[in-house]
Amino acid sequence: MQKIIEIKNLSYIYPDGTVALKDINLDIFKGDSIGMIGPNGAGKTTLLLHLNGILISNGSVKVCELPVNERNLDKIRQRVGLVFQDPDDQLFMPTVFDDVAFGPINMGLDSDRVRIKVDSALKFVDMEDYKDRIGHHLSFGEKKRVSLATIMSMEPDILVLDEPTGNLDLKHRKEFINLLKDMNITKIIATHDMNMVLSICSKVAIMDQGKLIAFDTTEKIFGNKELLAAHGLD
Amino acid sequence: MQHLYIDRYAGLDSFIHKIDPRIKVITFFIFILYIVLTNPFSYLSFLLYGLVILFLIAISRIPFPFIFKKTLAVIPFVVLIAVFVPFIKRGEVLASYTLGSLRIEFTREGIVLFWAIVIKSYLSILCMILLTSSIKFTSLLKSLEKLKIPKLFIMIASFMYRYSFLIIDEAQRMQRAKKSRAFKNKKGLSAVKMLSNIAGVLFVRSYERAERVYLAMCARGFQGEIKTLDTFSIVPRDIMFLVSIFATLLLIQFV
Repeated sequence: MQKIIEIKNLSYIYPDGTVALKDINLDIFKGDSIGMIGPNGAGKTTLLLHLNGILISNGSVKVCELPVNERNLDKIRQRVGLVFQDPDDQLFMPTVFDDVAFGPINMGLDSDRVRIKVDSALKFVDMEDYKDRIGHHLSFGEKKRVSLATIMSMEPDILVLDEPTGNLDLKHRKEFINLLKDMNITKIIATHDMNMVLSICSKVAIMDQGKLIAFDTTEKIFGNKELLAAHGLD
Repeated sequence: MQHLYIDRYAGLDSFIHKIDPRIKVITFFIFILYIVLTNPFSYLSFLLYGLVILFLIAISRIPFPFIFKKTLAVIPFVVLIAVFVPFIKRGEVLASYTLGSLRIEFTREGIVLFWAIVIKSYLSILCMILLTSSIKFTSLLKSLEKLKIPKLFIMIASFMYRYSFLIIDEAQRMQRAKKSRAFKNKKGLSAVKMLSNIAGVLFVRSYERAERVYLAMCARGFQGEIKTLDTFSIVPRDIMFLVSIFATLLLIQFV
């Protein structure tokens, strides 16, 4: 199988001195669907931010064989789609259309192609009728789905999601999980939603206090009750 | 939470609403130029301008009370600035008062100028309000962008539009949280302290959000310039609108 992300000896210290990541080593293969679990402040989000070069620190991160550095940033950001936790951060343009078109336009596509991509991304999340709607007129569940569309329109190879089901009600959560299930691309999902991990992730990574504690198949991790209990994940 | 939107009536479907946003902006800009440059003594012109605007409001089907209420918000500022003009402007003295060592003079030229400022600004404000309430704010921004207004202004206005409601929500939530924990309504200095605390926290939160939004923009390939697709098209109706308003303005000049 093709190695799509390779992380070697990655550490990160925030400017205020907080150690966020300690010596992370992780290999992710094409088509994997990885659930990243761990308590708040474990460093999950910080690790995700390294995957498309928002944060760059010592140690090495390679995406599709390309080292993540200033020079490769454009290429890597087209391949790695990062959906932020708060949809109000993800949706910054006045209208839904402009938001979903933002990525494709920056990729340098012509306007017809941009329109096609926007239409298909909005269709995928079932929001075609919301094109001209204004960001703050949407409900939370709608915002979450449009957030996903803003990344889908860029057709990334790797989808990185931070808390995709956080704050969603049961119905929308179920719909969102089904959406994710339908996507056959590499997924990395940081979450507290264990049931979602069980239903869509093939592998699980446990993080705690900036360290990667365990990385294995979902069955093995969830079979190890002691490990889960030790990190407050039972 | 509920908010009042400046473009609440932008979704109506009237002749005015259908005009291409760029043409509409240009037309009203010309209209305002005409109003501002009209001789203050041609009272009839102002009356006719007013009638034209009322006619346009009528066919836009935006409720009159909505528009007049909005003008009330601006008029006090205009009057406040203009009210000193009759005393400052030099000319034929109509009346003078002496307050101790201070001598106040009231001039004919000053009164004319006062009247001109008030009537011209009121008509201009009516134009502006009709423009902004018959156009979606997002289209207004886009049309200004197409009319070569610097991108930086457009970006600031667009972020303000997107996030001001969010910040208002946040302030309201904090106010509520404060209320639910405060045992009694404090007054005076402690209330001011409380308010400044809220303002401070709000600033920090907005600042942090700005960071996160910037990261989200970078993650989607932002390179210092926001690009959007052009969706406007000018049809004969738009040109007709521009030409007929322009013709009317010219006619009014000759009355």
